[in-house]
Amino acid sequence: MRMRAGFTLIEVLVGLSVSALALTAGFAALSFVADRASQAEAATVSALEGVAARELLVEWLTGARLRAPGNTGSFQGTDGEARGGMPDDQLMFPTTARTPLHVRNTVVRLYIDRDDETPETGLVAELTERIQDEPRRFELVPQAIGLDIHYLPEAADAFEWLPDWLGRNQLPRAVELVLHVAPGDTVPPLLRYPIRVALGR
Amino acid sequence: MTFSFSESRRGFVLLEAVVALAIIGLVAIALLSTTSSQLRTASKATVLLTARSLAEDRIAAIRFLNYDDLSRLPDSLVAGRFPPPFDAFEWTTVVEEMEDEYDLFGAEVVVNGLGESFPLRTLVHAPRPVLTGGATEAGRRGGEPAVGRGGRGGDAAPGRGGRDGGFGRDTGAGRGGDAGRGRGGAQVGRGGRGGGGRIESNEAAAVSPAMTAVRTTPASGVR
Repeated sequence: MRMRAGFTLIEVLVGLSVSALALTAGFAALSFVADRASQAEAATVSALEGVAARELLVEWLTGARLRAPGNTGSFQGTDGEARGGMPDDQLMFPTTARTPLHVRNTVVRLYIDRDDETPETGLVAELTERIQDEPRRFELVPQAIGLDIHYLPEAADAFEWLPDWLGRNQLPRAVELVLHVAPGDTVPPLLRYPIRVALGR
Repeated sequence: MTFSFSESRRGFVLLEAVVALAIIGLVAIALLSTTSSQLRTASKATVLLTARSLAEDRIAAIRFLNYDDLSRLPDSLVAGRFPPPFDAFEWTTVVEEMEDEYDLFGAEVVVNGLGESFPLRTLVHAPRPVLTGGATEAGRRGGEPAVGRGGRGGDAAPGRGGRDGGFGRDTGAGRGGDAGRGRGGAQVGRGGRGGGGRIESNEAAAVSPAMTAVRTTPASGVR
């Protein structure tokens, strides 16, 4: 009967410490796994954001036209440095791609908004259907602090990208957008990679 | 009797503990493996999403090549490694002219990296250079569909033909009547200065009988 009397104090202590050790190890493993899971999720979300912003720009640019019907706007790329020391390039183009305006032709203006008084910051797309309309603005990449745009001329043997595209009567063969972001920013890595689009093909 | 009873009782308690531990272990293993496979899927999705965007960039890079470059792809586009932060990825591009199709290329870009491989295929259309020196004849045969431009090209071609062999290139890039015609004029002007003597056609002309006539000539000669 002495065998069934119960555990001794030592036995209970040993049992408790063993289970405490096991629990600690289990929690450590679990929190490690949870960390990895949240990292993986953040990376996926970041990649998705990058892909989404890239594809939006690619789709709009692929639908770019030289002029909008009724001359409401034409394809004009301004070089920031040539324009009185402004740091950012700007691109205005009519596009037949689908935009949030849901009209056949949208005039898109891509620019960097550094003005603190406007609600938008970073890379902004300004969409209008007609010039007299109130433009609608969409923040595409809020973290962007600079934008460089280059244009590849149509001539078959030209392989030099030009800094601007003004007053031409044809579309460039391709457009390259390079976004600048502050170092260490959480911008999706895919947006640091240049976006190149072949136009009108 | 008492001894054997107490003996069997102790054994049973131990067995119980072992079974309980085993069950807990199995459940824990199942949970952890679910989580880890979820993690693997998530990171695979991230890698593939990135690879896809990079592959699309490579496709964009070959989309604005002309016929000559597509038939002999520049080395810098055939294979390479992406710049940081994507230096874990590398690409290979294969471009082949489609059989029995005019000026249509099949392009395949494969992006490899971080244990994943993402292939992306597309078709690229790039009109081949057209012989315009014998173009007197072609121009005549081509006749009307190319109207103003064709006529002008025809006018210019015979004079130049002897001087520069009359090789013109059709970049097929004309887009929209206005631009195409404006450029046609400019090209003729340049030809007159002794340049390449190029005549461009727009897409409307690319499907016109005129162009088909020009193109079938070399093709039937080859095949």
